[in-house]
Amino acid sequence: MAGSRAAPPVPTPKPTPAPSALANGLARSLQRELKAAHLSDELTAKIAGDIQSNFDIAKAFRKVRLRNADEPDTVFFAGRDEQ
Amino acid sequence: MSDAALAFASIDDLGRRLRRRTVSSAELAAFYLKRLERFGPRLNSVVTLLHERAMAEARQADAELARGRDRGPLHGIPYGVKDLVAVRGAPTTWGAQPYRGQSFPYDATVVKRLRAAGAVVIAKLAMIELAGGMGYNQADASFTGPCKTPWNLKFWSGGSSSGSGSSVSAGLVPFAIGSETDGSIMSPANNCGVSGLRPTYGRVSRHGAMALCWTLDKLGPLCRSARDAGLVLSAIAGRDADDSTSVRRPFDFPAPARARWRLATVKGAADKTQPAVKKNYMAALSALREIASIEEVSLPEFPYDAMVGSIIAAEGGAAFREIIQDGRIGQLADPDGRRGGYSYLVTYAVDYVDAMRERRPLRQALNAIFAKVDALVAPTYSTVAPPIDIPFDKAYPGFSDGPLISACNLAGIPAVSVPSGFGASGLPTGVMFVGRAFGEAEIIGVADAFQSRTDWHRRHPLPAFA
Repeated sequence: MAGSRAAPPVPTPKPTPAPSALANGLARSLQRELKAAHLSDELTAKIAGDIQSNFDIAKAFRKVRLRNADEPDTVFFAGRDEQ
Repeated sequence: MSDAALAFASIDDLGRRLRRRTVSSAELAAFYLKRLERFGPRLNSVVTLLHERAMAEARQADAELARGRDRGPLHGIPYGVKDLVAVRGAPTTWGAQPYRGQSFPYDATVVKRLRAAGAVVIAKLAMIELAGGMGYNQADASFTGPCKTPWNLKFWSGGSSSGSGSSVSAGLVPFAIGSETDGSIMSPANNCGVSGLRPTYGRVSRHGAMALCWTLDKLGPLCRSARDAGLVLSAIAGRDADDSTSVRRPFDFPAPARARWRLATVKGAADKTQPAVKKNYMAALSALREIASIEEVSLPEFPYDAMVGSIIAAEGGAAFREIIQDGRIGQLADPDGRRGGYSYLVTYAVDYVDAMRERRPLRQALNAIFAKVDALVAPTYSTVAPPIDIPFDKAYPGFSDGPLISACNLAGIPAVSVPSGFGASGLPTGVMFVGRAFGEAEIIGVADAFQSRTDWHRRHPLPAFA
């Protein structure tokens, strides 16, 4: 995901995607709602690019054939603190 | 013994000298503190020196040895910790401007365990801000400035455990604690030419360490050799009531000697590497063939980038939601880091859950490989360290790392990276051994066998750091 690798010594250059209307809308929504962050229009446009990049990478999940019963590896356990 | 020989001595060597009384722990602490003061600023590898505590702990270690109490191999040995590990009362900055004034009134479990083993904490070491969790694309991604590899000061130490790798490499500490979410121990081990161990997820308690991703974060040592890493892991491993993900599993180190190991290379792992990285990797395989059979396996196909990206976005976004929302991430040094967190806030929950659902079949697929081999072997990274003044994505076009480091972090399995030679600009290269869950003793064993046949780990950045 854009800007999300924890230690990329040599990240693969990726072309900046043109943000979709959804990505632009989400970025503008962040700009509106996070008033304390004072997100400029220029930064908001870059955030829209990040969001689009994340969306594009996450498309890989849609190619995967997980079954209904495949549970996430972290599951809620009611008795955890009682052990 | 010369200063240089002492500076680069192994834990075993230092332990022998302590027990023969040819050096005291207090003398060692003072010696390494002086080196940290002298060379740390040149490398940007140090955040805080712990003079008072170091000398007090060292004198206690000496007093105990004098009266016959020996806590084991780490007794009296100084060390440093990445500045995301809490040391009672000392600044713990997480490498980030918004947290420069932060401290905790307790020691992290890893610090407590090292103290119980007699080790002496002497420094908090530099790191990439927030362990790189908000993204970064340049070496100057910490309020302490770009951390440098001692092999060539124009090049990056690696990160995010930058100061841990750089300080061990320059002989400023005998060993250091780092952390890894997705490459943060492997990268400085590669770039600084040291031996770095990323333990199995849950092997080492993270209580008192900064959380970036609760399901990916691990603490582990950077050392002069794989054997030293085993000695440190012996002291810090184990269940901790303060970290619900930690487990009680035996770590029988050293592993019993073996006549023959079963290794596997990863198909395509050296395809897009710099020529020197490939050459050194091939030479490493030649050395390993003396002690191992080597077959080739294919890494299972999973959406690795999407998995690790979604998890870092969702968990990292939650961990640092406050400073993202109030704009304080705008104080970070790296332009990517100043904005990366905002996109995290709109990560789809279903993508995060799907990433977590994929981790089980990934573990099962890797387990099937480890049913046939003891360890995977691959170049740690595709290149030597990038320059400090060029964005990472412009530094070495045409070379790229495969998904092995992400795959193994997602599966929570251990790896050790050791030096394999040198490449362009006199910079080190690395080779890593990846093992099954809780198979650290095995991968340390094979790495130790490799290091007994090579001397790359005995090369030091001299005379610059004599």
